[in-house]
Amino acid sequence: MERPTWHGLTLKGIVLTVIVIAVAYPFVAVVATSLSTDKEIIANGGLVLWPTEPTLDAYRVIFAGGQVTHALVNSLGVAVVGTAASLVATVMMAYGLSRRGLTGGRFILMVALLSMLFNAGTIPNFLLVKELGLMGTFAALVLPGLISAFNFIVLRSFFTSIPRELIDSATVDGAGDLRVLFKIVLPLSKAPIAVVSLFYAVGYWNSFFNAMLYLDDRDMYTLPLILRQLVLMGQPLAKGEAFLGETPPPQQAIQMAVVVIALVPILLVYPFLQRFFTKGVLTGAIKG
Amino acid sequence: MAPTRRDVLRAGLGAAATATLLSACGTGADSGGGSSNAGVALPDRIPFAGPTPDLPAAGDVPPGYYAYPKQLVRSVSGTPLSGGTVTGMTMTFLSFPPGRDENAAWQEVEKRLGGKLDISVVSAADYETKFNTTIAGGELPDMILYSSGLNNVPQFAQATCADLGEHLAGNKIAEYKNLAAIPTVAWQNCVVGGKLYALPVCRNITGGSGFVNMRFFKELGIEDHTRIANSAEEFLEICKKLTDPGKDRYALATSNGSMYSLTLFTQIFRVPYGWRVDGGKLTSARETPEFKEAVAFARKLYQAGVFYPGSEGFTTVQRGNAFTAGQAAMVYDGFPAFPGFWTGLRAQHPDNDPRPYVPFGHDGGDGVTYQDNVILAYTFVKKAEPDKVKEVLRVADFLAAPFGSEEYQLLKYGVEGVHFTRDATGNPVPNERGTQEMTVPWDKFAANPPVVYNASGGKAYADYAHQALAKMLPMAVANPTTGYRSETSDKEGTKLAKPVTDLVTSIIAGRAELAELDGALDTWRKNGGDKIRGEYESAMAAG
Repeated sequence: MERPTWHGLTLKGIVLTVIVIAVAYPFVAVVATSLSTDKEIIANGGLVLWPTEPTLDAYRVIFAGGQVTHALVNSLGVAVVGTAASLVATVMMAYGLSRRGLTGGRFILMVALLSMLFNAGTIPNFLLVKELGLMGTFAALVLPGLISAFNFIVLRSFFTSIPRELIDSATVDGAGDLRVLFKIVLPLSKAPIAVVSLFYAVGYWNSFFNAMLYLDDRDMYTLPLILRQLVLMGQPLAKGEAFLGETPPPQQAIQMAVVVIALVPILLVYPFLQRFFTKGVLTGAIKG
Repeated sequence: MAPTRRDVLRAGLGAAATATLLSACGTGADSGGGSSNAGVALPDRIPFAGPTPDLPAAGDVPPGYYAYPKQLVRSVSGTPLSGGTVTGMTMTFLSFPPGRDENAAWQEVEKRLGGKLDISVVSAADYETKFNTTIAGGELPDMILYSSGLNNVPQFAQATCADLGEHLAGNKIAEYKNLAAIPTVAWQNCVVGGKLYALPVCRNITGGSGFVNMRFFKELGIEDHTRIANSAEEFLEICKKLTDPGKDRYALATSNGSMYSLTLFTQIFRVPYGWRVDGGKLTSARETPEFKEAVAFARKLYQAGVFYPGSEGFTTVQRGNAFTAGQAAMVYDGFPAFPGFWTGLRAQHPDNDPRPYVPFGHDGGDGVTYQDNVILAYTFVKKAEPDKVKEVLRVADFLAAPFGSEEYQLLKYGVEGVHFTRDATGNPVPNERGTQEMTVPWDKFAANPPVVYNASGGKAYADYAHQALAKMLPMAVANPTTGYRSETSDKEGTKLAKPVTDLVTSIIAGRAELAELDGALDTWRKNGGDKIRGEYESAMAAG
């Protein structure tokens, strides 16, 4: 292969440096601001890149009283249980509908696809959850969106692409549907399952709207509800509407600390799934 | 980020301005899209006999206190509940409070109430969504705060809410001493569909006119924050002197969507609030010659380079930060922002001297302020047997306890020794537990107007705030359409006003000419402005 010229290398270096700065700048600014004092933030126009007097005060405020810690546990619970439940349901449905000759299979597939185009809307969903007696339960965050049509299509496409001969030979050897699923289909589907798991986990981790609508008990609040409120507290609405004599809104550092807390768990999970990620997404993208 | 509700209210200056809560003050018996609330018997006002203030109350001007009163008054005798439960839903602008089981303050409140108070606390930003879904779900709590979001408020109130006039009109309110202290103007805002359907969460009537950092004004020999200039021309010269780009200091900082903080200038030019009524005929504020003069003056200021560069794209937080950092000598913001600025600016620089600004007249006379912050929102009480409604009202009465009462102290600061201690002058100082537990928004069901008091501000803070309110409240003009409803305004007002507000922003920034305003107003009138006017006029004519 031809050796790259120094011009080419320099250009690549500059382009890559610019990209790295563009990606790293907001992240560094968020972390640095979360570690800065209020005075320094205002003096720097709102964002700090290098705190001269780093402090963990913002994190102390957030974690004081155990509210955020409690919400963190709730969110982790919802994310883990929800992802597991969604994965089981989606795999079952996708596998079932990937097999030919299933009675009513085409109809069910159409219904699933239709849900990607039309949403029931907030109020019908609310009424459904209420009629099912799920108000004020964690199940209300999981059951209404147990199977995502998109994730279902991704998995079904992959399952359909597995050679029929493989499954047929297992069937001839006496394997039932469940054995085929667990011994043949799932081991071959690690990549798409990893991707779908990540999609579900991120979805549940960020679960805000359903939690806001269906949960009234503060002890059941998920992290996004609490964090959003902490962010909003610093907004002008709070400032303008606060009664005379009330505590001034918290510093911007708290808002940035909130962003850090919301990001970290996903950042931690991502590298472990990254090697499956590209492969899995491509699988869903090119198989019809 | 979107402008705050107050910015929108102010920027709209008319039909659109009153499209949210004020629009709710109409009747269900529509007459051509407009409707009225005349002739509704409102509760009498019986002032609260609280501790003697340092600065006296006068009319709607609240009393001022230099320090927390030592002798408190018990405003509710007995227990409002007899072991029963009252449910409620309201909003918060603070962090979510710990639940009852972990909240000693909540438990103490229930002890005083003599029963259970089950409330659902929703973030203010999400309140409208939660309110609408709760209504759709058909399970209304006993008390529910309403701010905005319904198109058919009168019909909703008639179908599901208790007529409070039956319990509170005239001297019937004497039974509820704390509610009786609420000013009449606040009750006027609670009339819906020709009946008194709600309880007010009172504010200071005027939302304020902004703040000045007197540190910079004093450098120019200006000492009185209630009169920083005597005319528009003088103000322009002062702004030029305050501006020093080399020191990164400008006279004004503005924010996105506020038409260069136009309220500052409409008040100087005495533009009416929303509408002007003359012989039963309405003229929108933006149709008046005063409005045009205010826009022309704002343009002149822009051309003089006294606005902080780029601040037209600022969020209101950034605008406040520029003021706090000393990059702007003056800023528009609501009066309730004063405690925040008082603490923030003084922490930033020891010589900073934030004070509320009082509008002056462009011609040497007085300016005006607006009655744009009479109430935050109001609370409906669910339709029920009279005894149940009375029970709920007794709870609301407890929650509306005014400053200087034992109940207010409990609701605001908690229990002494548990949630707060006192400083040398007797001001309650919340401890860590108090800071966490005292975020239950009790005052977002029903509340008396705030008094002038700030523990860390002491005498200076109270004097400045009281002086400003004493001047601003007498010059506060009302929107003549308050209490009347225009269906078109409710549904289309904001959308119709948008091209006009966009054009005004462009005119001030020099991207359009002042002469273009007439054309935009013609379009506004044709597209629905005249219809809104007609609906309001017929509603007002109907009495």
